[in-house]
Amino acid sequence: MWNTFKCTLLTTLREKSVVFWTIAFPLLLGTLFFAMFSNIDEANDFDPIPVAIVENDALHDKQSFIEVIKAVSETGENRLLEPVYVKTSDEATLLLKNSEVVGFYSVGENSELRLTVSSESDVSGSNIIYQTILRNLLNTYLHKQATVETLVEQNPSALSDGALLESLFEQKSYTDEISLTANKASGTVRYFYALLGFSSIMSALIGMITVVRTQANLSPIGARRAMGSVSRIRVLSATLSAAWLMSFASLLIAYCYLHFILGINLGDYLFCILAILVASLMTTGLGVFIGSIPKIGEGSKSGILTGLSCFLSLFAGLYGEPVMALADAVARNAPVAQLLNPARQVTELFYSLYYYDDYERFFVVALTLLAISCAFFIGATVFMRRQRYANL
Amino acid sequence: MHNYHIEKYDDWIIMEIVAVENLVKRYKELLALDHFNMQIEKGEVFALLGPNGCGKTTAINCILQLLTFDKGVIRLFGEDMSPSRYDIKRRIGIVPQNIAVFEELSVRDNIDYFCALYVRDRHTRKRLVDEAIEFVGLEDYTKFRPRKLSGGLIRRLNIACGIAHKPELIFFDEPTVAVDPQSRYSILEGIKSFSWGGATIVYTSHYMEEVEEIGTRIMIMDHGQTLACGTNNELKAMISTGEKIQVEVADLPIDVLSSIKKMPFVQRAIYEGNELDVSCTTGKNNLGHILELLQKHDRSFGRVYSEPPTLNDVFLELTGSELRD
Repeated sequence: MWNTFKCTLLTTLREKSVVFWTIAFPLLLGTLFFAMFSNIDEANDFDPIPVAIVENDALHDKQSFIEVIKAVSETGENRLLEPVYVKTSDEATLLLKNSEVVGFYSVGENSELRLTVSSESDVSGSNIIYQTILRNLLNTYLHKQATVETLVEQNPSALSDGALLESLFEQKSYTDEISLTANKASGTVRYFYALLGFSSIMSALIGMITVVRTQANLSPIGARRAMGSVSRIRVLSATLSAAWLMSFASLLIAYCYLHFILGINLGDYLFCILAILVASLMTTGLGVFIGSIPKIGEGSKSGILTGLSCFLSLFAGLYGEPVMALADAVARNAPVAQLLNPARQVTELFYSLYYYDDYERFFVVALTLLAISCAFFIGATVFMRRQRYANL
Repeated sequence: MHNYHIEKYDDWIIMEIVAVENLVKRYKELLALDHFNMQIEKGEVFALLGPNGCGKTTAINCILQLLTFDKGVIRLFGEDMSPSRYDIKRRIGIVPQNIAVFEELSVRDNIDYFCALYVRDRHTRKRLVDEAIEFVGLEDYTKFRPRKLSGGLIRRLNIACGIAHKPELIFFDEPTVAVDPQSRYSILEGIKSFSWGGATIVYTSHYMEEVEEIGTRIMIMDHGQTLACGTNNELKAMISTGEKIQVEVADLPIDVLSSIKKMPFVQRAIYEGNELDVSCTTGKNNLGHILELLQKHDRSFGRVYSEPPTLNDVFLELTGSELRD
């Protein structure tokens, strides 16, 4: 039994298609996703706005504005501006024309503060937002300056009220960001769940190849094994255990790569291992079921499995935003179809770990996967129960 | 290939190793085995000869319980065979027609794995694997994977995987198909040494020369039926066709050729390009009589060649068609 177990591990580990589809491909696709989606995440990060400040004598009269600019330009998480100081408006205009800055602040002929930006038709979407921020900054400054000047004129004693001044300069937000999920929602992490779902389905290849090699009606090696003096149940037990271990290991490698190398947060570590254990059992069952179908060659079965993996992964949302929308639509309108889709269920298994506060959803999905596994193994048993065949 | 010795027999008394009675096997409409019978005694090299599709491999697969059959009784080593008779399987080796080795394992690992299906003890197995490697002459290739081996060497590996556990009964199913002459010779020599070592051999082939060379008893099959069974000489004695005689003669007159054709043992006589070809029925001194007649008509002759009947002649006479059809 140990020899069969060892032999199965060695042969599957040295089978090129297994190594590529179950180990190399998920790593490659994961790396590709990471490269693609890290740009998206970076795009969502706020970059300081490049703005020119015309630093001439007129500006020196606006000390309070200079201080405001300094304050919002300080290096740190909340840095708003990246000022470029120039001597003349012409220099600032040149920078603006060259798109090196979004706009420039200057002091006009009547000592008024000015913001100069490009016309809206000349700028891209993000620059319009930046222009709005620069405009709001100046408006807020001017509004508060006017308020303080009014107070000085009409009620100077009020300036001694600390609480009043504090409320005057307070930046108050009337909205508060709260997360409805256990972890911060991310539009990209779903792709990695779908990738794990796809990987698990692809690792069904291991179960398929190993079971083909145990059946006399499916391969010459199976026929030779059937003539051995080790009982059939022992050979099958050792083979399927090794296939499960290999599937588990290949998924674990994919998970570790995503989690530890690429830094993707996929949920609680121990529960992720449990999820991989369940997913690999299901995937072994799928491979064993397809592998045990009689009268179909190993090459054809491999093709069926690859096609099935791609098809099922379609509804797990592997192939981009429109397909994710399709997967969601199918989940809403045909929940049973998604319930029976093992790729979707594996995706759901990890999804439940990431988003849900408790593990109730996780265990429901895990039980669903175990039920699917049982169905696959029962189906395979029906095909494999014979020890003698009408044809070889 | 080197010497082969089976280590232990605990039932030397049983002489009938394989007994098949009235075996019937159908593939839907096709009757693959039609009341097939076979008895093989201990130490025999029993050859199953017949054209492709005649039922040789089907018979073996039924005996080994890989195929279901419609009717019949199969006994191996005097006991009824069934798929779960692992005790009987322990005593059997199979060298299948299709190569059945793991592409991903080395020569040694392949032999070790298939030997482990019969022998659990690691130390015993190591010795057996070494002996099998030496027996098939793969000592220089133990770390090679099958894809690195030539066709002949892969066939040897296929054999080693089937015999490493020293079985008492070995089935060789067309082991020399697509093998070069040198490897074929080596394989046949190896099979002979199995027999000398005490194993009982069942050998299937559609190459009559091989069967003639190694078979102690030969069964000729066609359309799932046994046409004849016996030793090489017994089979040839069953038919009326005798030797074929070729004589190199310059200028053979028509009247002399007619005289030869009229000889009672002559089935057919042709004279072409200074060569006289005569097919004879079985009989003694046919060649002598022909040469005597030529001398009587003052005909000088050169090279003389006499070929005894072949198994192909046996098959031809029994079925009316060539074995290689």
